Amino acid sequence: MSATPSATVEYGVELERALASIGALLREDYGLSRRAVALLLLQGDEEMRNLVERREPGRLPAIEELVARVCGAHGDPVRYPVTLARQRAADRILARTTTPPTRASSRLRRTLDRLLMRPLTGVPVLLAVLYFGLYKFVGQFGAGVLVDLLEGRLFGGYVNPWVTGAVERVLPWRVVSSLIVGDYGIITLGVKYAVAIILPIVATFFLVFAVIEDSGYLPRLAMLIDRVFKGIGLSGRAVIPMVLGFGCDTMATMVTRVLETSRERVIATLLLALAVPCSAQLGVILALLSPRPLGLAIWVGAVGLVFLLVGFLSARLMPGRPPSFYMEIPPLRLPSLANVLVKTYARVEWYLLEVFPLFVLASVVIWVGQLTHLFPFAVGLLEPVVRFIGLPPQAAVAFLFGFFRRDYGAAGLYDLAAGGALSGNQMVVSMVTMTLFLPCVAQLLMMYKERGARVAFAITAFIFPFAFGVGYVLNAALNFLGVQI
Amino acid sequence: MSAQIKCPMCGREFGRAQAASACAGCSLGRDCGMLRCPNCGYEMVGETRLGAMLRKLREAMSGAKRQG
Amino acid sequence: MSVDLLRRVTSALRPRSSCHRPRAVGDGRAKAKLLIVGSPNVGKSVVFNRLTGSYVTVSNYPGTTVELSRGRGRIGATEFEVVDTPGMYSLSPITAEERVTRGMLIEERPDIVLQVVDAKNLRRMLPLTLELLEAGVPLVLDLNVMDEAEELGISIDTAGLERELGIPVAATVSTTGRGIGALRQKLADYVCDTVRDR
Repeated sequence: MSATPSATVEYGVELERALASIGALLREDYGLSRRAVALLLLQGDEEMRNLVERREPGRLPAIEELVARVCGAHGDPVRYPVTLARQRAADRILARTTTPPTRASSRLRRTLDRLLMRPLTGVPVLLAVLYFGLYKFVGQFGAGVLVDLLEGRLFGGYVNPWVTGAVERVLPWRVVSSLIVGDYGIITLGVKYAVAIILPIVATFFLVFAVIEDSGYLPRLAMLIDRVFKGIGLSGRAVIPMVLGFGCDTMATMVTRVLETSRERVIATLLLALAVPCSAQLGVILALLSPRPLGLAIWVGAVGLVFLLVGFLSARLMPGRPPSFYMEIPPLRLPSLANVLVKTYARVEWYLLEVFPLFVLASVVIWVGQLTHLFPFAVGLLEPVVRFIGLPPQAAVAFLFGFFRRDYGAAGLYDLAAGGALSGNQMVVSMVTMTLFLPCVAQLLMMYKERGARVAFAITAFIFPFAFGVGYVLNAALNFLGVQI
Repeated sequence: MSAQIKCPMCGREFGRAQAASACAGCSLGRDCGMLRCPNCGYEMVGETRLGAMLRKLREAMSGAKRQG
Repeated sequence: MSVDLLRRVTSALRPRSSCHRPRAVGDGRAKAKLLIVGSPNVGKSVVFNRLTGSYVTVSNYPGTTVELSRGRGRIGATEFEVVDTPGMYSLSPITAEERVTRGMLIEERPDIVLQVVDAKNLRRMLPLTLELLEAGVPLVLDLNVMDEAEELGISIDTAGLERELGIPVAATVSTTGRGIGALRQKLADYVCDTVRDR
C-alpha cells in the first residue's frame, strides 16, 4: 500500500537524496519501510543502527558514512527539519479537511499566547510578572518583612542570646563553645542564616515560581527568551529549560553535552559558569538587593549585560549556524492552590535539606580553620582582592563563603550590610562580583569532567580576574558618577 | 503503575525511571533530589511523601464520588 | 447513532462475499492482530475495551517494566488479537514506553494498526499518522473525543481525510460508544481489502 501524494512528506532535496542512497543500501526487512529506517538512521537512532549492524554488518560503514556526511553538512540536527516538514504536510492536509475552532475561549487562548510570546508584548508582561512576583513579594515581603522578623527579632532578640548563654554555661571553654555559638557558630551563624535569611526568601520565591509553573507560562517564556537569544546568535534549546527550572548548574553543564555543535557547548558552559546562579541562589541575591531598587536594577543590568556581551562575543568568535528551537506548548490554565502549595513545599524541603548540612559543615570547617590559623590566612589572601573593588576587608569572609555557595555568601554580605559595615554601593558591587564569580565546587568538577581540563582551566582562569575586574569597573563608575545607593 | 509525572515545560509525561536515566553522567549522580524531563531537560522536584499522601487522598475521594 | 444502526442493518443485508466468512489470515493464524497506538490520554484504553471481549490480560513486555494489555475480540467475521500499547509520540522514541511500542510495531507484524487520536488536537497528532504511513504501517485512523472537538466548533471532513491520507478514518466518542460500530466496520472491511490485495 503506497501513501497518497498529499500524505507523502517531502524533506528537501538534500535529505531526499540521502534517504534514497541509504534506502538503496538496505537489503534486510526491518518491519518498517526502507525510507522510515533511513530516516531513523539519519536522526541518529541508536537502536536502529544496532539493528542494522546485527542484520547486515557489511553495509553499515557505507551507511554510517552517508549519515555522517549529511549530519555534518547540516547545521541543525536532522530531527528538526524532519519534524517541521511533517508538521507542514499535516497542516496542509488539515487546511483542506478541517475548520478551525470557532469558540471564543480558544480564540482567547490563542490571542493570549501571541501576547506572551512576541517580544513586543511579551517582555512587558514578563517585567510585570518579575516586578510583582519577585520584587514586591519575594523582595519586599520575603527579604524585607520576613527576614527582618526572623533575623532581627527572633534570632537577634531571642534565640542567639538564649542559646549562647546556655551553651557557654554548659561548655565554659571558649574553644569548644565557639563551634556552636561563636562568631561563625553552627547555631549563631549556620542555623541563623538557614532559617532566618534563606528560608523566608526561598519559600516566597518558590511560591511565586510554583504559581508561574502551574499556570503553564514557562514554555511561553522559553519561546520568548529564545527569540531574544536568536538576536545574539544563540539557540535556547538546551539552556533555557534548565535555567528556567533553576535546577542545579552542575547538571546544566553536563547537559551542554547534548548541544549539537561544539561551539554551542563551550558558549553554554562559559555562560553557565559565569552568570547563571543556580536555583534559589538567584532568588536570594535578588531579594537581598531589593530594599535598594536602584542597586537591584544595576545588578540586573550588569549581570545581564555581561551575559549578553559574553554570549555575543563567543557567538562571533566561534562561527556556526544557530539551530532552531521547537517545542510543544501545553495550554494555559489557572494555577490550582493545592498544586502550588504542594510544589512549593516540595521545593522548600528540597532546598533546605541541601542547604542545612552545608551550612553546619561550613561552621565546622571555619572552626577548624580558625584553630589551625588557616582561616585567617585564607581571609588574608582575599583581603587585597576585596579591597581592590572597594570593599572593606570583612567582606573577604563573605567571599570565602561565596566560593562554596553563593547564597551563603550573599547571606554573609547581607549580614555585613545590616550591621552597617557595607554601604549601598559596596553591597551592589559585591553582589555583582559574587554572581559572576567562580561556580561552586561541584560545578567546577563537572566542568572539568565535561569539557576537559584545558577548557575548564581556561574558563576558571578567565572568570576570576573578569569578575573582579567588572567589580572594579562598577565601583569606579559609581564613585565617578557620584551615585549613592 | 507508579504515577506519571508531567513536565511543566514541554508537557511530556514520564515515569521516575526515565528521569533517572536522564541524569546519567552528572557528577552529582541521583543525589541532587531533582527530576529531569527526558525530553527538554527541565528540572523539577519530585513528590514528597506528604504530597503523595494528599494526592492519594484526593484520588480516593474523587473516585468515590464518581462511583457513588 | 442512528447512522450506525443503519449501517449495521445494511451491512447485514449485504450479500455475503467470501470475505465475510471466518478464515485464516496471513500465515495460517486463526486470528488477525490489531495494535492500538497513539499518544497517552486520548482514550486508547476505552477503545481497547470496546473492541475486546473477554480474555484480557495485562503483562509486562519482556525485559521491561512496561505494562501491556492484550485481549481478544470479534470484529466483523474475524477473530482479532487486540493489543494496547503504551503512549507513542513519534517513531523516534524517547522513553522506554515509546521504545516498547516501536518494538512491537516491528516485531508483532500487526495486520492493522489503529491510531487513536484526540480529534481536537489533530494538528499535533497528524504528523505521527504521516510518519506511520511513511513507514508502511497498515494504518486505520480513529478520531476520538469527537464530542469535545464539536463543542469547540471544530468540524472535520472525515471522508476528505480518508481521501487525503488514503486510509480508513473513523470518528468516535469512546466513552459513550458513538461511532464504535462504524469503526468496527472499517476494521473488518480493512482486513478483507488487504487479503484481497495480497
